[in-house]
Amino acid sequence: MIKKLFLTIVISLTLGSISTLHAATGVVFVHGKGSADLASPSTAFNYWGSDMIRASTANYKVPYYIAHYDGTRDMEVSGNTVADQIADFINNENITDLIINTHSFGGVVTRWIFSNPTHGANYQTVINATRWINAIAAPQKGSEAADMAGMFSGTWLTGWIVDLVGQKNDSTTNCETDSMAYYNKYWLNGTSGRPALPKTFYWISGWGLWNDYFGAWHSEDIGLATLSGVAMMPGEDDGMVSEYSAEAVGTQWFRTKANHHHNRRNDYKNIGDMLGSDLENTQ
Amino acid sequence: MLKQLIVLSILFFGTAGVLFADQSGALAPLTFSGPKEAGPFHYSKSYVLEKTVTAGEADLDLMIDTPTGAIAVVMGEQDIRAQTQEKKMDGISYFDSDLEIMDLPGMGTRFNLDKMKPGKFNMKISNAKRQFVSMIVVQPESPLVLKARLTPLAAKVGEPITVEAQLNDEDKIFHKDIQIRAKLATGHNFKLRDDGKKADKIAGDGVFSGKFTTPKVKGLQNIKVHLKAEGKRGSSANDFHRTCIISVMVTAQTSRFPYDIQVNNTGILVPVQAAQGRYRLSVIYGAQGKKIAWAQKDFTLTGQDKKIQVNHPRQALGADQAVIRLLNYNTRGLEDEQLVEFHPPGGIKYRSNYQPTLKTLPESKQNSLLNLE
Repeated sequence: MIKKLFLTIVISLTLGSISTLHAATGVVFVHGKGSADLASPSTAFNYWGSDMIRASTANYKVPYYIAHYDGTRDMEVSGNTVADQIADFINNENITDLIINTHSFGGVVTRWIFSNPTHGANYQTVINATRWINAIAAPQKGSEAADMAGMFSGTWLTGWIVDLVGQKNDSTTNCETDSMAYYNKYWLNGTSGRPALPKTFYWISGWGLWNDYFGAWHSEDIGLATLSGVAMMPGEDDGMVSEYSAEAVGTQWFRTKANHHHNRRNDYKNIGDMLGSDLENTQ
Repeated sequence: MLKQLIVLSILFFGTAGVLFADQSGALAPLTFSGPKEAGPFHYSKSYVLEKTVTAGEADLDLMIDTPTGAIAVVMGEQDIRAQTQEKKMDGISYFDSDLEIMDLPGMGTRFNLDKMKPGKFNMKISNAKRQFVSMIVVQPESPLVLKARLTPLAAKVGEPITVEAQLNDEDKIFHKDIQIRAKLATGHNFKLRDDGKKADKIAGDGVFSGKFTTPKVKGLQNIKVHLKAEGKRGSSANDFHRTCIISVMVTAQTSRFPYDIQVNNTGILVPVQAAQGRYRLSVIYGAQGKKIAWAQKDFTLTGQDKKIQVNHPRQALGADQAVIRLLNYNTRGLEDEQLVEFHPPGGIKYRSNYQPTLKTLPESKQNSLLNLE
């Protein structure tokens, strides 16, 4: 009897190991907030840039998918779209070992999925297939830059800035620090004192601002450095997200000097090469 | 001893609870907090100026106490020229479409105020293309900070909200004629007081307080309160300004706990008022003032009252209180929240079940750090 039981355990473990060895790995990219155009695959592709995708997939070693959703919507609406897209990718490519790379609000959208597994029909499929999540500069406790947008749409001002950039959208409100304090208390898991997430989030936070402004004269760099100053972000930040916020969920992987513009690309620092290292043991 | 413990466990937390709780687990033993928790503090060392533009020009009166690192930014305009009474100021124009994704103007002109003297000065700007100019002035090294928060962080329509604001000054310089006003997007505005009357608890303690009632909203809405503090500061009584924005999450209530929540040996029996849609009951258990466990159950209401049983998870053994929340899946609003106290039978004492997650990196990630630029 004991021999039979022992044999069964050995066979099960062996089969388990074989299935692990033959795990079908895939990589998914989940972008951050932005315009409604991000629902288009080509706009979402450009968000990351081709070199970031090449490097993060270790020269296209594994199948990959670039999630694309309307960047003005909140985490729940976006989460539903993203979960459906990822589930299709998992099913079409028979993925059993998924790595999810997120940038900015994409980290919050993904955390919504992992915090509410029963909410969408495909949420659990995504969770089950996932190895881990690499969250680059995610505003897990919100962003003071999003709060600042509220200052310029207030009643002491004429609202002309609203005319300039359009009405405040749901994803910006979602990213405000008070909104995220609320969601972290009632709906999202993984922050201190909340239930644990079912898979590990590895955080990457940015602390640089000016980056290659003085060499390449990127006006984006001065824009982010200015925003960091006027939004009074506490501690170090990448121009859009403070490090305390990016580091509020999960386990540290690394900090980068790349600002919010550069840390979704493989240009100023080798962020994509770092993400690609996840595939070093993949056949 | 072990037998006794098992019997007690079954008495208080029936096995059904272990088997059928929808989702549950242990929590890190951090401070247990009940309903009506305050929102986070917001801090400001900045203020916003706005002026009408005539023929591309506008006059702005700036006040600065600490020029080191101070900047003034004209939002939404490039190539702005500026002049004080003494000299021309050089600005740096920028454009970053990434700022627009945060609903901020992507363009602006930035002026460094490092070389200005503390006090009030006039800045004449020209080459503005819009009808109004909006300028934000920030003094990162200033010892004067406006600190504010709202209580509670989450409320229902028609509930009172307390606004608290204070001016912290590292220099301990006496402030005179301070006024702090709050304004809602609805137009309702009021003065915060520090006279120990109405919403203010203690006269003269430097904490200014006020109250407002949450307005009508649809679903869940983030209601913003703009704060503006002004007065005089220091031995030379220089004027100062600070502005800040804070918000409360307001829910249009659709359901609630119509009568008392009951605690039994296997779980918590929660009455829920008739409504339509998907809801969640979330329970956070506490023991000796610390969080210990959580449980939640999702369910649908179809127009009738319901009683929902949330079973105690095994990790909640020894709990002496719980906060129960009714959440609306359709709006993400907090519909109701209640604290329940109970006493574990047989003197069961809480023993932590929490297992902290290991923070070690997998080998591939450790190796990659050698190549980190």
